[in-house]
Amino acid sequence: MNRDQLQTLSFEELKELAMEEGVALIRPLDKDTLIEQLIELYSEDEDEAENNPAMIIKEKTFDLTKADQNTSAEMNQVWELPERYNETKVMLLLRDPNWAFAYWDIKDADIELYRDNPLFKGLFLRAYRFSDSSSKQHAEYFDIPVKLQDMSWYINLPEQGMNYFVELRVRFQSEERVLCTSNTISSPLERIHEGMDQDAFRNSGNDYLLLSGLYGFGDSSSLVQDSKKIISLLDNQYPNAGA
Amino acid sequence: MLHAHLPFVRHPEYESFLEENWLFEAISETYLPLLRVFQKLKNEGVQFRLTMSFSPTLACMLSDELLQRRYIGYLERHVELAEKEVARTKDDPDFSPLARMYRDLYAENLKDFSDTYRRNILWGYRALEKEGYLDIITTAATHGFLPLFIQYPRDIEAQIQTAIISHGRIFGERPTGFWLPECGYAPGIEDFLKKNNLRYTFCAAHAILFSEDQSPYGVYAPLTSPNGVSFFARDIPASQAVWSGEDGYPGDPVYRDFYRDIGYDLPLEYVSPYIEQGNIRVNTGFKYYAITGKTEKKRPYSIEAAKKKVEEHTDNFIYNRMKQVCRVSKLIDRPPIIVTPFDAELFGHWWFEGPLWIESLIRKICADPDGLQMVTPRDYLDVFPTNPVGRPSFSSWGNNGYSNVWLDGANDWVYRHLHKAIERMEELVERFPDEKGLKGRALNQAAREVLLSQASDWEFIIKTGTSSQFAIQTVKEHLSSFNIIYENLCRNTVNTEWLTNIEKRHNIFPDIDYRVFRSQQSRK
Repeated sequence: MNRDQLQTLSFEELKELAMEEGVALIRPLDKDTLIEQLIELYSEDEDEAENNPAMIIKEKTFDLTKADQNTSAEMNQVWELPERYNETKVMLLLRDPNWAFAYWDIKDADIELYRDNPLFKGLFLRAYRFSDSSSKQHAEYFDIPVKLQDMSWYINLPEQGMNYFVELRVRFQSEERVLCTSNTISSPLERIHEGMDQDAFRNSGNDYLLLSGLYGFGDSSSLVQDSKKIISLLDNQYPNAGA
Repeated sequence: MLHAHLPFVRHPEYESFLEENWLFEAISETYLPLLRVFQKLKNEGVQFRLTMSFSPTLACMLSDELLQRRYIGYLERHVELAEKEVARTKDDPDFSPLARMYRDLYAENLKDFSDTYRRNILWGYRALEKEGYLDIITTAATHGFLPLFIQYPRDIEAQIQTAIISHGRIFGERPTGFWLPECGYAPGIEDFLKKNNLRYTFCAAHAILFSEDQSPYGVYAPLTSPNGVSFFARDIPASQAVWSGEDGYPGDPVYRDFYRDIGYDLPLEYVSPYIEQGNIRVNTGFKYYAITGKTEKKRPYSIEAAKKKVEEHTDNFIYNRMKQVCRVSKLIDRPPIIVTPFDAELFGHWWFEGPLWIESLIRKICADPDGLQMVTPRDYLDVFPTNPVGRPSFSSWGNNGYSNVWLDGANDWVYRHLHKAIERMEELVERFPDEKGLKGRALNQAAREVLLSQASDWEFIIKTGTSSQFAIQTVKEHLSSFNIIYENLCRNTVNTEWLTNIEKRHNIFPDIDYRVFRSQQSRK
């Protein structure tokens, strides 16, 4: 989204977008600040795309024209899909170790029922997390309020190396009800495992990085604790490696 | 390892279709030049070994008569343009040799495609495999990004089984290895590979680096999952040297510039017969300038200077890999394997000199018995059948290393529909377990449409904005076609005329059996 497109959104819509994108909301919140933060985020995304060689090659493969002219998209027939499928269901997809994407649907009849019910207080997602060694029944959880018209949400996963699932729940004045439960996903640990044993493998942390092809950029010991930097190096595949 | 893939684009309902040029450009600039390089090396007696994966979508398109015929037309137009270019530049000492180079290239392509390979270049690759130069493997049937379908085991099974059957039909062999689309791995995928007798696959470096089961060899030996499937991790320094546009070899100022093309540079009336609909400027493939640097004033491209640079770059690549081997060998008790997978389309299409670089690299490696040795994963596993056991970590080779490219604010809407189509396909298989005749045809087409809608390319293109409307329409077309079949079958009807039409258009996987979506339980 560019600045003009963002300007057309209301403050509430921008706030929601910022939360969906995982932007840290700096208070006091105002529309201009939100727009600046989102633009910064989108330009970071673009930088990432520019830096990842595998993705750059892929883009070039599909470059036929300089501009996105979509010449062939003017097909004889324009295809449209139903917006939804009138079913009550929630699905959870793992995006990366810190974010998941949930999409859901609620049957029309139920939506009407809630909308017309004076005791209806709202919908929310209850996100559960549990470790491999604990059970689903003892999972911790946190709630994310959503609107009746919402159909998807990006969920920040508070801890890596855990299992997650969500329930779509409806809240009435004096009770809550589970509408549906998602599949379970497992967030990986985005770091070198603490179990890495120098004695067992003879290799130091630095050696292990070297054995992962990460060398040639100074002190590598800090990388053992800095997974973001490792990912960034993998993404950019550090510039001087070939030289 | 070279991974050759393009999504299925075939539109017989149009006289010409711009996105079919993805295939035509790749044949002209990558697949034919690479084939010539391999043939040349073979004829010189160079005993090289290389793994190539051909995606089933690409292999089906390369075997398709309509696309073969259209490619001939594409080449004939290029030969005609080349002749005009030779005449136009005859007095220009810089551009004249380049115009002749393009004329020779397209004429050679036309001759090789029509005469040598009788329109199917896969015969050339298949022969090289039979003669022991190539290991040809497969990938998911339509190149779906598997981690985002892991909740649907029958779908992953269908992607893999359909790929293996298609591969067998086209290459006459059962593949031993599998390319995970986008190196996308999620725990559990190895079970599907094992079930289909696939011995090895490839993954991102951090799949091993962040694994709970550290390997004493890091990425310099495969990690074998507990069920016996070996994961070969991409080596970062070797990849970087070649992949990176700015810092890698392809970005050298001497090499040919990808962006300056006569499709944009010359007057419209001159290029009109060779561009889209006569008035939409597109790349023609005729490019006369060197990268030069970050300037608009580009220098004319010099073939000789580029050839010299190719030699420097192969020397540099080998030198650095040898250094890498020395450094790593101190830490491990067996020779390290440096896994270097690339999209094949990098070589020749974007990096014009790429095929020359591969030729020079292979020749130099094979000429030095004390230096590097070319091996395929299959060769490696024959020598080192026992490897550290462990499970890779969730990963891909996309931005940020996970699913971020294929699950993004721009493309996340597709999954609701893709998943629904899988659920409905599974429902159809249960309801119609043993259909033949017209209903069987409808069900087979339904299976084709479900798989076609899942190509990772569509999400990628929707995110990156290149031809995004085309990608959106393509996904919608496959899903809508599936929905029409589903709804018809729910009413116990089949529209024969419509079905015949869609079978002709989306004619991929002629031998597909919709029961590939049947659950293991139902099969027993």
